Amino acid sequence: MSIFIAKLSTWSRSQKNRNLFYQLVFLILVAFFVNYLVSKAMQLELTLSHFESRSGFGISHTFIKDYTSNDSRWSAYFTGVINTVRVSLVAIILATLLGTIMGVARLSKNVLFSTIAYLYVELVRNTPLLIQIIFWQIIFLKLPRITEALTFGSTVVVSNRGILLPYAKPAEDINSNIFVIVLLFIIIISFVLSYYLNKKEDIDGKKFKILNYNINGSLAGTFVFLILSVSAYFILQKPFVLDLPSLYQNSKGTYLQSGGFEFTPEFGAILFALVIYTGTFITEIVRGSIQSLSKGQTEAAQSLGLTNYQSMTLIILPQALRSIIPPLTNQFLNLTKNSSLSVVIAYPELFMVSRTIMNNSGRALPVFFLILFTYLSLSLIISLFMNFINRRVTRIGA
Amino acid sequence: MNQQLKWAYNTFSGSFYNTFITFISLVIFGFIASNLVGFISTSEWAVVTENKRLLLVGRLPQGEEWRAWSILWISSFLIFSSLNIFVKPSIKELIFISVIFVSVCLIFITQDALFNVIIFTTLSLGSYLFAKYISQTPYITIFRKLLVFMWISIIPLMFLVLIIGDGPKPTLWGGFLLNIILAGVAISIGFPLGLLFALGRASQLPAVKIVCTIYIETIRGAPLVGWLLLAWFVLPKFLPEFWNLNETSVVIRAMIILSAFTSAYTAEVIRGGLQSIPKGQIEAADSLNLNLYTKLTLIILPQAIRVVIPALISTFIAVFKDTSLVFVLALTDILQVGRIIPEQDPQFFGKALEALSVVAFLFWIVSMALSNLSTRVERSMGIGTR
Amino acid sequence: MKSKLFFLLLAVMSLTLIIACSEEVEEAAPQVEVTKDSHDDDDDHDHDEHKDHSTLEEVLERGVLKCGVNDNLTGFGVVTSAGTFEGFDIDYCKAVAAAILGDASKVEYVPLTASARFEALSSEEIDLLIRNTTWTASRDRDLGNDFTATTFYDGQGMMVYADSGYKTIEDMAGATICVLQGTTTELNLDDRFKSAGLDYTPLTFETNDPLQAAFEERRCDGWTTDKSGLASKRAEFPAAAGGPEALVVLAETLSKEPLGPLTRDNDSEFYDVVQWVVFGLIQAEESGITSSNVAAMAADPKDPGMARLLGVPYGDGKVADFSFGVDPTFIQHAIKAVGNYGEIYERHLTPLGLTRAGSLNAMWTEGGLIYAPPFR
Repeated sequence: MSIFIAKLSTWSRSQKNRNLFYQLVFLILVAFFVNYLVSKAMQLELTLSHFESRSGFGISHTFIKDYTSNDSRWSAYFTGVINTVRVSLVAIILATLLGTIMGVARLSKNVLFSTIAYLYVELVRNTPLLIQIIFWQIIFLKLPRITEALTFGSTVVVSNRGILLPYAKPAEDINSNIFVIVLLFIIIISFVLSYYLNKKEDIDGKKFKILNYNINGSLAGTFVFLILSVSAYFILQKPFVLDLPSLYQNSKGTYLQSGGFEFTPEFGAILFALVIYTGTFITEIVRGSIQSLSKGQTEAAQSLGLTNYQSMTLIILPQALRSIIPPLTNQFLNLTKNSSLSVVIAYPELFMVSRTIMNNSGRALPVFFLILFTYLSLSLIISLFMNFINRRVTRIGA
Repeated sequence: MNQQLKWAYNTFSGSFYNTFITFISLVIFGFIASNLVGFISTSEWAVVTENKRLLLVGRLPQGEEWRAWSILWISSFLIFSSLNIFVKPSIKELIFISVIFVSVCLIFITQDALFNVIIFTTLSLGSYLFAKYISQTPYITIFRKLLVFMWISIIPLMFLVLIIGDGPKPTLWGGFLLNIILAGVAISIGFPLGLLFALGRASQLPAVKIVCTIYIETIRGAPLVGWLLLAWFVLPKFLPEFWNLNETSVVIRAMIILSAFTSAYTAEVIRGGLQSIPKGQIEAADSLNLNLYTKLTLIILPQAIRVVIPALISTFIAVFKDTSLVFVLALTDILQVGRIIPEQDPQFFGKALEALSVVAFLFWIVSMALSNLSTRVERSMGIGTR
Repeated sequence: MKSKLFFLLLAVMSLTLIIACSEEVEEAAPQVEVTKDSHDDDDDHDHDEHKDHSTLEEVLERGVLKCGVNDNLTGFGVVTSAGTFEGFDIDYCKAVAAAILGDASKVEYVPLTASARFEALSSEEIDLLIRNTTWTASRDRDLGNDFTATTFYDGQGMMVYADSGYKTIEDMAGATICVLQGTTTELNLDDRFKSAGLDYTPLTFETNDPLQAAFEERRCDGWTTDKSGLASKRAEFPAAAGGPEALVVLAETLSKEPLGPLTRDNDSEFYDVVQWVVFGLIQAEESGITSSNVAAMAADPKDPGMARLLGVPYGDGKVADFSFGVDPTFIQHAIKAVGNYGEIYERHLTPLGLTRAGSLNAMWTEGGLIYAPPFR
């Protein structure tokens, strides 16, 4: 026994061994906790089998994927996921633009412009997003009613039912699918080509030339893309037709509108709310990053005779980008999660559709896990993408 | 005169771009101003004035209002004496604060609350002046300590006031009171927890690190409405049965979820602070042979938290705004009240904008105050570190 | 950054694992079932713990009835500016509280959205759900609820603008329809349009207010919900948007919508009390007992039936106690608190323009469906 204690005391004298012991204890505690949770979860029904059954409810916004109430609940769920991705993607792009402009504006010497940016940040950032979503819904409903809808020839219809724009619609045959796949290939080919040419230019240190004209990699890529895609379009016998919006009266004299690409007030409300809300945070990030650069950079740019615009786009922003991207990623993640707040207006994204399914099926827990899983995956994709960008930006800078 | 003209020319014009920007800004200002005037001139505020009580305290039973008023009095004493002692506002800020103050009084005032509003006003002004007086006497150090102590204990104090002597059930707390309480609890529980998780994530023990990281990333991975939904119908099934924990009130469950949520977000912020500490600091502490506890409390944390105070305050503002999401749990916070009162009476139908703008205003005041505080801290730290 | 990504990936993977595991449970389920049968007693012990302890006992013990209600539907349930609730459904909460606890004010109202109400009932957040909820088979069986009795016979209707020219649902091809989320109306709407082969766009809202805003701005052509709701919305339609004349409720009833209180499955003691409070208030109207004359009637019941209803002795006889587990005078308390069925209807629904005579909600003696089984 005493030998054992002696051994133990020598064993425990090492920091490494003690750490090992602490971790073991900690892990055992965590394991107990997890075991408790799992045992409780096992008492509940956890299958998603009811997702196979007919959904039975309609969804107002379907995009890319056709959905009718005869489809399964899975189908309804994916329609919701697509709607989430759609609004988040557009909102991320627009919010970045708005935030960058406003961030620069915050530091503008034009007092009017910087005041607008200041008021924008202070007013919007300090009120809950939920109020803003409802606010934008009310604003979008103030568009002209369908009886007074604005039309521009037969190309655009503007009413509070939605803004309709001309759109390319796949013709009713397999060619349209083939075309999409071919298009994807063409995009990849052009990217590879432009990347290769740019790289070659970097290494050789001289321009690539055809008939004495300097050919830039990006230019060549664009050119190749245009040629290939146009020829593919005609080879496949025009797989897409132009879908023009129309405003018409039915037999009862009531106005209806259909066709084209639809930009609905609900989508607009959630999009505007997300863009304008997230924009304030991006504004502050951009402002902070620019301010953190030393003043010498701006002065150097000015002494080179660059205009304000040039010094901003060529000198300041590219440098600021390095410290912008990590916090920006967080804002993108927040934006995606915040899109779930559109439950309060009628935009059927992932969260809202899941709630309807929960309500119709009465099995909440598995649906909840599914929601969690989906949002985690979306976050992961965004993080991966931003990480990729971050690596590129830091490398170019270095 | 000539100089001012030159300044104006340089600021608003001078180049094509700048003139263009000035023009655009003017258009935006004009558009917003005209819409604002249009809204104010056509709005009817009966929907708000009739429902002041509901907006502020929700369904707190008649005869229990004194609890809410006492909370208001305590906080007004605290806020206004701290204003003088710690913040020392400039004249411009003082004017701004008085404008806000008067509008808050206007919102609170009703015929039967006249007396209470008078107490509120005198107490606020009185404590500001009292603090001004005391700062010239030697008692200032004690008073400072008292204030700090009161700030730390304000949330338990609020609870005490609400619960003492057979207080109303938590489910009856509502309106703005509920938002304040939820945010207060979430922050005062979430912050220390977040600190622990941040340290855990920065720990050198892999097991601790992994578990903390999974916790933080899972919570941050899904939206708060989702977690609140979980609290609504799943959490009771997971809570242990002893002490009837599985029958805890929805408000408590909302507090649990909000605290967990706050802890994950603060952990991330604090982690940033921990990473910013130069390695030399830790090595120096090690070479002094300090133990883990002293090293943390004396060397690492004071520096780490100092750096992230502004970010922490923005997280707290976000939490405060996020308390408006408890509508998922069928709690009537101020925003939910704002959403349902237009349904209450046919004469209020379609008056949503009026109701919502008052709600937005109240949220804005509190968040604005906090964010100004954060800017001040940022500025004062900048002077200190450089 | 890299490590963060790794952990995010880890989180996703562990969740996948959980979901995958839960799928395995599905396959293993039959085996579990078998063991369940053989150890029936053990299983009942911890699984049905709350059931040895019925909701009725719980309510009596707690001294408060937790009632899930609407806070957002004029006539059925709204919050007043003083923070109290009022409406048709609210009165039934009061009646049940008065019957069980002898005090109509001993109710804790839990305001619920349509999509949260069943979760609230099954997670025991509330004892009783009275939130203009339609009796359907799936809700009764699949969602684990028990519907007690119908308090209001409603039907789903469609409201359109008068100038739209729509006369029937068949006219409405291509229309946009506003509807509430998580309701039977959402599903009925789809059934109706699908079966008629009509295209439509459902605009699904969570609460009434944004829905009405959208309808007022003519974002949608039709507004579908229970006809009672439509009638009240139409009656109070703001003059600025055209007033009631601008709207028409189509004659067609899309579906039957019997509304009533519901309790959890397998909770028969509580279920019976709620059910018989509903019946008792109907019977009271039939017997001519009102809130104002109930005390006099109880002191001197006109016939043995009335004595049984009010829980008082008739002549020298004994009190008929049906052992409901509450005081035999429970119906009497309920009537005292809120009045009989007719009074409740009169107080909340008549002002909305829902005339009772000639509708399904008239007394059975007057050609309606309001009918109570004998109290014997």
